[in-house]
Amino acid sequence: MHSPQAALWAGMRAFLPLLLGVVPFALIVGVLTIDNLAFDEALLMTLAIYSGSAQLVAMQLLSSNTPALVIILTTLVVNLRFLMYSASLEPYLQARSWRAKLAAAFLLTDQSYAISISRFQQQPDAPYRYWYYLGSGLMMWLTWQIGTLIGMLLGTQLPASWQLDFTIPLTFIALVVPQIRTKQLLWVAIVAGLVAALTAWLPFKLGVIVSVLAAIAAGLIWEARSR
Amino acid sequence: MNLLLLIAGMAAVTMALRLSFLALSGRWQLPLQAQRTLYFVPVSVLVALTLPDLIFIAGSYDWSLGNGRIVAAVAATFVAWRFKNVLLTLVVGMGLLYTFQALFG
Repeated sequence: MHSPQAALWAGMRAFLPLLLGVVPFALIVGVLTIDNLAFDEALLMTLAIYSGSAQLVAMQLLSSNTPALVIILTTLVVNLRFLMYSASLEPYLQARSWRAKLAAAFLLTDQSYAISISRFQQQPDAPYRYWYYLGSGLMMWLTWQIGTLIGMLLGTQLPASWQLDFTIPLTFIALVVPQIRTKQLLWVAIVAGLVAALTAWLPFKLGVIVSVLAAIAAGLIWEARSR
Repeated sequence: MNLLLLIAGMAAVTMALRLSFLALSGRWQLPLQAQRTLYFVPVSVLVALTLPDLIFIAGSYDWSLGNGRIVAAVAATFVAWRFKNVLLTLVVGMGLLYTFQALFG
């Protein structure tokens, strides 16, 4: 890659295979958002937050009358992974100006991270890495905004008997299962699932946070034992 | 108004997490123990968000075989594991839920 523009295009092109996974997810988030919010609120939410799993969780919690503070706390837990992504990308991007940092941060998603980090780890010295990342991030942003918008426009016409709320757990299953690549993570998942099942009756979905803490503890115990 | 505060809060929390280490420009690194802990977060959160939706419906537990959501979710888990495809997982899961309800609902 010999220019910033070429790197930007390469990043955008590298994102294309991910469209197939992102489009249905974006459509569903759009449909479920318009189920709970007015059109302008839904639009504001997807533009301001730009995080599919956080938006899904918010819809899940809003429909069970969870207080805003608990929803924000759950958002924090759900998006803690961005801390890891941010730390792992920084050495490759080396964004100097605040504008560059803010743009990189706003476009940070599971998908743009996955595309960029695998490229950077293979070719750590490739030039214009920031532009490559920006390309993949912009492509994800466009796909997401268009997809959720279509979902919102479709959503109001879909009958309740379709039980579209069931697409929330299904989407989570589709996202989490491929991540369970080791016995340790399988163990963590089993503990999270058991505790979540047993604490589902707790008010404000507090069981989610309890389950995450229990599962992290279980993972750390596994690690200590295998050392 | 309350909703605007909610959106602002969610956006602020999300942006702060995204910006964190990019803003620090390598001046501070996450301690190793914290990295190990964070490693377990994505899997545990997604699983913890899923289970209650399957077994705790409209304010009470439903463990029975008549609960089509459990059947559909088990099949979806297999499809997600075997094919790693979001769309296919959704199609199989929703399809089974509808089939189950047409047969036993």
